[in-house]
Amino acid sequence: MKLELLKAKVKNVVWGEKTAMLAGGVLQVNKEDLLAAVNEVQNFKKISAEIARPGESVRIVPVKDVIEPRCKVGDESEVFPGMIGDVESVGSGQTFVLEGAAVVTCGKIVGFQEGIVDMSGTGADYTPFSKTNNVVLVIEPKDGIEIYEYEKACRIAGLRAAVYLATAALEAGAKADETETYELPSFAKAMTAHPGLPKVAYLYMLQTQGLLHDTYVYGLDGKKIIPSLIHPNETMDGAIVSGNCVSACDKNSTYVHQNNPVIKALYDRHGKDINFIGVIITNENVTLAEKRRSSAYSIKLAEMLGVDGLVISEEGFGNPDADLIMNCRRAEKIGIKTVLITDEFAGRDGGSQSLADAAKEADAVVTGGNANMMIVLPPLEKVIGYTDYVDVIAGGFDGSLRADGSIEVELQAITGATCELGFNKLGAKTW
Amino acid sequence: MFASSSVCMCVSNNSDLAGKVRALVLCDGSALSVIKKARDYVHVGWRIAANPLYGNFKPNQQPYRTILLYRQDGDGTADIESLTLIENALRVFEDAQIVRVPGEYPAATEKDFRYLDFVLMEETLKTFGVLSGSLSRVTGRDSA
Repeated sequence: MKLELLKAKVKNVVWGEKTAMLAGGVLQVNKEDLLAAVNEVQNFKKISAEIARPGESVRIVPVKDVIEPRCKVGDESEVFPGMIGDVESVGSGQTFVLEGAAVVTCGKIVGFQEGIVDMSGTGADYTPFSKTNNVVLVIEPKDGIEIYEYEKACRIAGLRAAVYLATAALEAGAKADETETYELPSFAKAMTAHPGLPKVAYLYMLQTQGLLHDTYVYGLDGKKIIPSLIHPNETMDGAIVSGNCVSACDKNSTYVHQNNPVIKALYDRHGKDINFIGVIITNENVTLAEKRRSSAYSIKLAEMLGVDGLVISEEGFGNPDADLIMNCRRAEKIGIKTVLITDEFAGRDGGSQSLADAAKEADAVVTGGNANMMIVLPPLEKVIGYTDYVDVIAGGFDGSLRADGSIEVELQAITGATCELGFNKLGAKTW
Repeated sequence: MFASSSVCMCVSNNSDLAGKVRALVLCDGSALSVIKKARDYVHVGWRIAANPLYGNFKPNQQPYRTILLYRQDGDGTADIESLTLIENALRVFEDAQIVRVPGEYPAATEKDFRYLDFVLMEETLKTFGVLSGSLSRVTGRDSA
């Protein structure tokens, strides 16, 4: 399966008469057309759109999802299959990407939501979405809509906006600045390719617990899937969509699924020091029997592939720590070496136990950072969204929102700050 | 292992579950008191059905917690997996600087937290056959 990503580089976003790419990497957007493409009059009382650029004195809160504008080129398939596109498989052909732009959805689904994206100041150092040119949708529901329906409508609006921007720019003549090609052979060829290199697969754990803790695969609720093989290219076409934003620091927004750095790194090293065989997706359910079923099934798939190593990424903390460790133990027990990617909740001083579960087999672990670390976000000139629930957002506490507009919070509240796919800005140095 | 002959019990401080969940034992106080009560049952042979640390909330945020337990006739010794999970949850809550107690937030926020507590446990309650009704939550802050 071969996929070409045709990337137009976006360096600025402006409102204007027609949605199109202008000279110098400027994405011009017709606001009325954008809102017409995403509005669901039966659910929304009001929907507005604003622009937030890198370096501006702007705070976006509460952020629900971030999506990269993409659309398919010249064939029948559609991005975000099963969500707004048809259910045919994706991951091959060509996909047009507005790289450097993002759609951000913002809405009060329940009365205590996070995440925060600051476009400048201290907070901007911790979120990757301070460096994208953001088109922000602020969505206010009609009264009396079921919360589930409102959450779904917000999710769909963000996906539609992303497809609208890419499609309209492409139809207006946008050209790619560069093309990236991703291709893996069939399993039959992969098994005999690159003799001498270790066969490695990726076990991609998806948060699936309930409202605001969900992930969708081809439109299916991830709680209801049995672990499965997915081609890495399918993730780039939006086969995995986020419905997931509580404790925003380590939740994978749709943008991160579209640009999973673990998949990119495995592709980069494919044929050099590893033989990248494929990707297994699994869920993180609440019920213990479901955890055991998913863990046993996904490690069985890895065993059937005959891989030597497994990279395992977690999503979230607490309850999923048990899934992560269970996956690690089961794989190591049958001789598959594992590397785990997680983040830590090690207390504000970093001195507490980092995970809610542990095992001696988990001896190769990469961390996305300590989500309990405290930071103070300075007051910014403009707020897109609502700050009235900052005191009770994940990581916040009484007194988080100060009179001058500054906010004292744990990193937990910052969208993507400790991303367990490595799509974040934290690192470590040793001396 | 859960079987059709197993008996269930749901320990919770979420008052919105009353009339919706069979075999409900409602307790007063914080999530910590729910976990401690569940631990008492684990000590005498009850097993827990779901990870007590469900949801990505911390003790300083979510005041509500619901723990589903089950047992077979004759179960009298503590199940090690259940004990490990409940002790891990206890440690997380006991180490927290702030543990929320129901009633601390504005009424609408409290109702949202009770709703989220329910939906995160909904599939488990269904699977174990103790769900006898559903909870609904609609938009509009006046609906508290």
